[in-house]
Amino acid sequence: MHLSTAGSYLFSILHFLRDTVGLGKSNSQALAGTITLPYRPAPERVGNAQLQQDSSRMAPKRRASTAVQPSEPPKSRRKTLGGSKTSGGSKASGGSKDATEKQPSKRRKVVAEEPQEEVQPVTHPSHLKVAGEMFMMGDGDCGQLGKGEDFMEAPRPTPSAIEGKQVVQVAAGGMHTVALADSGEVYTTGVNDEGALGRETAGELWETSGAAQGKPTDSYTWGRVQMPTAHGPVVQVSAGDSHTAALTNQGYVYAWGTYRDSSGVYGFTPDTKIAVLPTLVYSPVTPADRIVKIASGADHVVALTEGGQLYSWGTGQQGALGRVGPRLAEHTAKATLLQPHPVPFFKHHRGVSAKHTIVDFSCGTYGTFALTADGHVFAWGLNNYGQLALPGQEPIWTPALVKALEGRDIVGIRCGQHHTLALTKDGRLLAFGRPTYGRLGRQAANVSSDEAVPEPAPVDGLDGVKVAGMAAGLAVSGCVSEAGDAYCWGFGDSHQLGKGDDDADEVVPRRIAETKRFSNRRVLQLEFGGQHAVLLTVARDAAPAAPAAQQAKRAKKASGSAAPAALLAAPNGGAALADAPSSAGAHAEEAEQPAAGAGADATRAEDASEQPVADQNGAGSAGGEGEAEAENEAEQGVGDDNKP
Amino acid sequence: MALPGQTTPEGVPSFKLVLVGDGGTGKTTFVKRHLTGEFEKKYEPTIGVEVHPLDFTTNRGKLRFYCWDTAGQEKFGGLRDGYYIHGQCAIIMFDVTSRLTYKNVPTWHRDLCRVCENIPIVLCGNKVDVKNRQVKPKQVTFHRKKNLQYHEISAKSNYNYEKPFLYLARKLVGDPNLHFVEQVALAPPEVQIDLAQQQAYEQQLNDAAQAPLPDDDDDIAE
Repeated sequence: MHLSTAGSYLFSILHFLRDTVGLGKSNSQALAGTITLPYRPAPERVGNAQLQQDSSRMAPKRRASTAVQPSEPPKSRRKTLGGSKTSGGSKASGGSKDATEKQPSKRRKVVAEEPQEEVQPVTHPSHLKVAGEMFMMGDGDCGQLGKGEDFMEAPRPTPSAIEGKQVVQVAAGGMHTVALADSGEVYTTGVNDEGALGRETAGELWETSGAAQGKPTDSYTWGRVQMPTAHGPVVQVSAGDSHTAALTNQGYVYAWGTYRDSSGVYGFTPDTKIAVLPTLVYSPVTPADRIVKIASGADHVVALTEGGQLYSWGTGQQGALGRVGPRLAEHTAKATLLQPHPVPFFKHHRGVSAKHTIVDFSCGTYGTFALTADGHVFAWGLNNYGQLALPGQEPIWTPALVKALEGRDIVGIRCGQHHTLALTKDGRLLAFGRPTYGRLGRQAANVSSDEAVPEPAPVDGLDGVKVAGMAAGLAVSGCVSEAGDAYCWGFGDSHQLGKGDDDADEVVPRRIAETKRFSNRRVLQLEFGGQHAVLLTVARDAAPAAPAAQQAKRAKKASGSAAPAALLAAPNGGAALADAPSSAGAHAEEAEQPAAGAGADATRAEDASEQPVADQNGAGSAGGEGEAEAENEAEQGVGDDNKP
Repeated sequence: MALPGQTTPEGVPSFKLVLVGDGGTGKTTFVKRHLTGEFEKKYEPTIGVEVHPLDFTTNRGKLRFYCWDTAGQEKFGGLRDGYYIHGQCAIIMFDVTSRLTYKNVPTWHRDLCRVCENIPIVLCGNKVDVKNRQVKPKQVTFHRKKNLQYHEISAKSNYNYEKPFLYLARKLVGDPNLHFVEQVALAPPEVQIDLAQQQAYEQQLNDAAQAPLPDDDDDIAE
């Protein structure tokens, strides 16, 4: 009696706060733990102004500087969201709260359990949508290149196709590769010793897993992951050393594989050492809890909710989770580490407002960067070479403001193992961290030294190049220009720079040379695995009609002058913390998609005719799997005990 | 006859052996097999490393490896140069049952070459006692590109325990015919290895060593 009175009193206070003061979502969530806060649906949509009153979701933004609001992407989605949110939030909130709900939402619920298509999918500028073809570079003894057991290296960009599919996003794990097909399916290839492929392959892991169906697939070629469909198609994938994660369009996160620490395999969940199949690891409670973006470090995953809250999980020995200190990271119960928990952002930072709206983030191998709506950069994790641009060389255990990047207009960050690349609003790249082997791309850096270089400075050799996206690997770096050219620099031993037999390091960016196979391609996304690199590309002259594209290809135009402007926006997302304004471009990208697809198909068919020899790529699109397999067998002339 | 390199107080030639590899590959298990080394090991807190003196008796006299084993430093993704400096030989270890640990082999190798220059290096694939491992011998190509010696070992079963040391000793002494004349005192095996299976693998390794490395360089269009 007492309690319920107190409870309802609290409710009204809370709602008052939400509507007037704009109490942040995280606050209300904290309270929810004790008083079962009901999810309060947004008012019926009558317009933008009204929606802004939906305080639980808009509050953080209202606290942010107004200057950035017009370009903040999630808002545009909210405008279109309307009332149908309820079905998304109904699942978790439970029945008791319904009594307190307003009439309209109650009715909707009765009509209800509306088909899930009604739920507006989550969006974020980092979701890539342009379909293209993959090229691989680098070493791939373990099947990372997806081209079979005997295809061990690609010194120059080499096509790697999934039969009959185009790809909208790629993710490169330590020793595996993940591709998101335009049809929403997830494909994987490479090392599956710790379950990173999410599908049955030969070997001890599956034989002892109890999940084996007796139908092992080949880990050296692309294979489809059987994703559960309950929470919508996959819109984004991420990959770490031994895990893969997938975000569905309803904001749920699946993952599989495991997380390692310095003693080997640590675990996937408190009860599971290794998950061999896609496993639901995060379910939103309210629509504001829906995840809009995921990213992976070597052994941690970070996810951003629609409400601007970051969650992290995995192992955090170097502080990459941002929420456990050194002693906890070593000794805490697995539940604390391996399950998603919010990264606290309430701490006051001198000269910066107390609570920050996170609009984007990215993961380094052992660290995480977050970008706030008002342009601040926060970082935590391994800093032993100054890769967080923070002073000292000890790990940073909780979010820390990166003063060295204040006022630099940073719109994107990618962090490798020991170094970091930061992209400025005007398309310039900064680098800091470990200089060894030239990974910083800074001419003046001492590339044979092991010294920390925590001060950000521009990457050299990119004069006149407007950078749209970038990637940082173990000891390599790369970027993609707005014009779709790809540049690589750093450690050359694993052929990740795509220079052919020349495996020397590059101290400044070097453009990936065109070859017979890799010609006239516009690079949309570049990702580095441990020893390989993946390029997602479209034909440069993607024209509206296929024949035109074919002709254009024949003409072999060197520069892509005809490329639709909308495509320019594409590389931003996956390869970088996305530039906010690209939300406007997202629709245009979708519109261009058929055109790009048609053009690319034509190109691929032609590629195949150009290269009758020893090319396992193009055959897939024309002949299907059986034929490709047969071809492989014939070419290799070797028994393959992995294949059925 | 004197061997090159430093000498210990007892007049035994000694060499700094740098042991690197990802966490969980069995480096510590491996060095601990050597009983006298385990007994006499010393911890160097400033660098976070344990130094195990590993003695071997050869047909040309005794020699000692000061084997540097990191104490969990791998979690920082590589070691600082102070760990490598003055290294005279090295073992890079990975786990054949977890090829993720193969990922960093090229960077371990480069770090060694950068700081120690031309030292003999052995690549060791550990845990070959685990059945049905996924690394096929023909797929370990890194050592061939870099002209490293490769040995498959099983620390837990003592399988091939002496092989890496023998290779290094021969290189350091400059005598390809050097051999060990006394059995090293090792901890008793914890597991048994399937010798027939392993011999088949070794055969495949040899075959693979004969086959040419793939050469797939594409013509440049520009």
